[in-house]
Amino acid sequence: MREQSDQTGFRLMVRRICRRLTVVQTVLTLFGLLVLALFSQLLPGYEPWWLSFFLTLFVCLVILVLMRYGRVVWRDLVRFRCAVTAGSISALPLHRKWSLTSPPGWMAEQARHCLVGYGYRVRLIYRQGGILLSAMRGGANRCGFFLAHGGLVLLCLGLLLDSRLLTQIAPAAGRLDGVVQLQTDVKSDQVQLVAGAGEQFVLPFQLELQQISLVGGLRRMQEQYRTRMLLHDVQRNHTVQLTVGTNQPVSYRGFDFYQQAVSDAGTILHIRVWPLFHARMAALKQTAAVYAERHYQTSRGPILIRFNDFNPKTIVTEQDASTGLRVYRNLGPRLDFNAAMPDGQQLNYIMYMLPFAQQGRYFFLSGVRDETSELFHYLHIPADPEGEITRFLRFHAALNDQVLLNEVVRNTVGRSGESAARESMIQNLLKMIELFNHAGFSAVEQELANYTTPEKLPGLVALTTKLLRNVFYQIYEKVVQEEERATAGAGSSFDIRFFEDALTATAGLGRFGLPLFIQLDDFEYKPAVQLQVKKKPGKYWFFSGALLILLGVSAMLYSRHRRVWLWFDNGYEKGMVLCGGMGGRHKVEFAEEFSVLVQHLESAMQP
Amino acid sequence: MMQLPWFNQISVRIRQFVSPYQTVYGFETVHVIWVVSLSALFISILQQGVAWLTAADVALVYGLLLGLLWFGLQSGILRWFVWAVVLTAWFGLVMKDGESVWRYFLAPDAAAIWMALTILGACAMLLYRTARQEAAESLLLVGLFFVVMGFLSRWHLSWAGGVETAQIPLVAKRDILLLILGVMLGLTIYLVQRRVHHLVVIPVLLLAGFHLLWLPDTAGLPPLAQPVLQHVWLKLHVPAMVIALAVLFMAGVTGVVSLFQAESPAHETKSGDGGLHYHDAMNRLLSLGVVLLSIGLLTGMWWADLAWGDYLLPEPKLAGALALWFYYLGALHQRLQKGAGGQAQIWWLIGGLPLLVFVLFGIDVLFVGRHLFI
Repeated sequence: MREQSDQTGFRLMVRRICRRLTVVQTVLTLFGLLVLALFSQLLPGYEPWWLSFFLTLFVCLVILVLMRYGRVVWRDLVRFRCAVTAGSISALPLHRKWSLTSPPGWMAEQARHCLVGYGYRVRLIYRQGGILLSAMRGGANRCGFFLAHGGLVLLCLGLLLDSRLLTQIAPAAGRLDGVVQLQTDVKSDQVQLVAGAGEQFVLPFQLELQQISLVGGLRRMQEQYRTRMLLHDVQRNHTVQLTVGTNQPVSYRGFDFYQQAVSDAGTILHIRVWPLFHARMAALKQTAAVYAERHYQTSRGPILIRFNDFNPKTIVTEQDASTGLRVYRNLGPRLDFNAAMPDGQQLNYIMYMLPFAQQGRYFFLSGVRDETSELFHYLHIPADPEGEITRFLRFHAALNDQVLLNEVVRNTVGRSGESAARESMIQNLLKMIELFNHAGFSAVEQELANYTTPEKLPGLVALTTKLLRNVFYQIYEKVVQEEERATAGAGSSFDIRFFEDALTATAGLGRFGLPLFIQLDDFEYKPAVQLQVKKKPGKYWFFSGALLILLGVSAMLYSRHRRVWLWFDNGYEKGMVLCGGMGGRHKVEFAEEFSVLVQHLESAMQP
Repeated sequence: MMQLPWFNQISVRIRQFVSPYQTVYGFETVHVIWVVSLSALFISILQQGVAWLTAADVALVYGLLLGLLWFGLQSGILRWFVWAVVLTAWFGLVMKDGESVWRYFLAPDAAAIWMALTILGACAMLLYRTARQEAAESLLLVGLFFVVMGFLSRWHLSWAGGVETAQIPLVAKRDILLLILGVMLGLTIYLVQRRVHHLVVIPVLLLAGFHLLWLPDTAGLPPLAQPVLQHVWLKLHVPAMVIALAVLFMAGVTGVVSLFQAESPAHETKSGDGGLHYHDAMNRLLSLGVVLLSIGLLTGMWWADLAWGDYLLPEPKLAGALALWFYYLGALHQRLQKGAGGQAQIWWLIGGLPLLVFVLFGIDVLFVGRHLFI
């Protein structure tokens, strides 16, 4: 007796919970999701303990709903409700009565055909007093209940499978999030886990980089790489070729591989090193490698260069002057290196190997910075008509050629006047040229300030600048003539612009600091690819659940469950046909449908 | 009026030809004309130099064509509207914009100004009752026409740079706003035609003004900077989410407007003049919104799994969208459990309005995530 009362108490409790379930569900949903929204920002990772708790609770609640209402909904889906009587049909708000004009069996058959044509499932029951026709349509609505709630359970289970909970219970079966590095001719199976300091996971197969390629046109950014790799599965005794790209992950034995980053694994660089601040224009040809170091004896002392990184392609955006649209340009290979100066200073350099267009002119860009956290200060070296750096280097070498300078300066100063004063002027000009070569016009101005009063300084600076520019231009003309383009001379607008840009670049060389210019002839690219390795055991549970919810909710919203009964009486109310129907919550829509349906039924049952 | 017998004769012939009683192999002539002409226009547009469309893009375009055909078969007014849009787009494409007079109507900024003017005019007519409602509805439809043209011309603008810059305008905030405006305008026309209170036009009016204020700063089309954006899922996820949010917003607006009505919405009955009840409108919008939101979330999470390596990330926009989804599932649950209509549902939908604005724009201001408008 006591046991029975306990059972009743439990049932009452369950019923009470279910009655309040909408409220409970709503509060939990709002609370849980609000916390999710907040904590997704504050905590690393999305699976704190309370999320697992919340999900478990949610699964239990949905299972409870399925247990409580599932039976009712299932009954609604499969049962025809054949216990209705003529009285209950006439009690329905929507009903119609006709006289029996033909044998009830024949009329019931006609009605059945008509209703089947409307998509109803029909059952005929022959009773003592007549024939009952029970029909129903819109089972999808009731199926939607199971799909949506079952989907919700699947979805939450998927999340639980992918949560930290399963990883802690069964690490081998749980979630995995790490990075694997691939290189050519090296087999890798070590995955560096993202969470956990330095922890590693060993894959049950080995990966080997076969090829890496940059896909798409210039629009494609640097990350748009495609990696072709070989997968050696010793356990299954086979090797497969897989290709991973941005937006194109691949899966193998439950592991997903995503393209993450490409770095350098020691690319071989065939370079030419041009000495700067030197009259001799002779390049040193040599082979270097990324991560390798090279020592150089320069005009400023010994310098140690360490190559940090290499990129075979550099994409930048420019604004097109005519259309205003952004266009993409490839600046070619890019070298990144550190230089240890004779005074102990460490500078970081970046050099682009193809010229970059700026205001209709082309420049070779080289950047320098003290710290890697700073922005680069760029040196713009003008490109010659061939798109090469040669003319600038020749001009620069000529500016450091003392014999040539002497000759040009003497010609400029002329032979008239007192010889001592003329010689002093020549020496002063040569000194100013040296100053300019190392620190630009500002250094010349500073030097001149020592010789005159502030009032006379602007005049002296203007005169000296004019003289210097005259000397430089004569040297420049010689350089251009040596290019065997004497017919064009140095008078074309391009040459004049080049001269101005070359002077600006020369003035900036001092601040640039490096007495070398490195030119890349060729390279043997050796990339290393980082692939993101993921294992998400709950992924397909989650997406199956989400799809089922979508289907279920759509079915519940856009399909209506309705029932129709017809009673062909041959008992006490002989000669009557009763028809009634109900459309659940969609009363208005069903009323319209019912009126059309009874018209068709009436005409179908006419003899 | 001057009599023109030849004109009357032609007119009668055309009417006979397109009358519903004329059939071609059992199909109504007007439907056949609609399907054939629209398909021909679409194919012609596809041949105008959009050869770089991927197979998925072409599938989407043909999907759109099928959708438009279906829409046109449902309603005469939509048929004319779609035909006008596609025909104008075709002319715009053939004329190669630049030099022709079309630039005063079809260039993105011009279309936006025309759109704002027509919406302003229509709203003034509706709110001040200065003209017949039908005239205002027509003007709103013209506004919608300019919204669609503005969107298409933004897309066309991106083709100017060739295949390298061609992109669907679904990344910039301005374009998202335009899409929202288009959807909300379409729904406003639907509601106004069904005699829902004229105050329903206010959000569209505000949005049009807001869009106009935005114009000076957003001349060019931003590039798709991140490789993850160069994906077909962009064309599925973003429209689904944006349309869902716009539909749910209009559900909330209908809820607000219903509060201005004297009688209780729960006790209204369907009127015979084609009018729609507030609770009917709200329910239809809620259903459509929830289904689209589910599609948007599902496609977005699948895309995130492909591009970012995971479908559930510590991502504020995702968390917000999930919160929104659960919120509207709660609203739907309320409706399925307790029945349609009722004050609770109205307040539920009104409560969703600030949440929607927060998820769409507020999250970007407060948090840093991977969902960034350019």
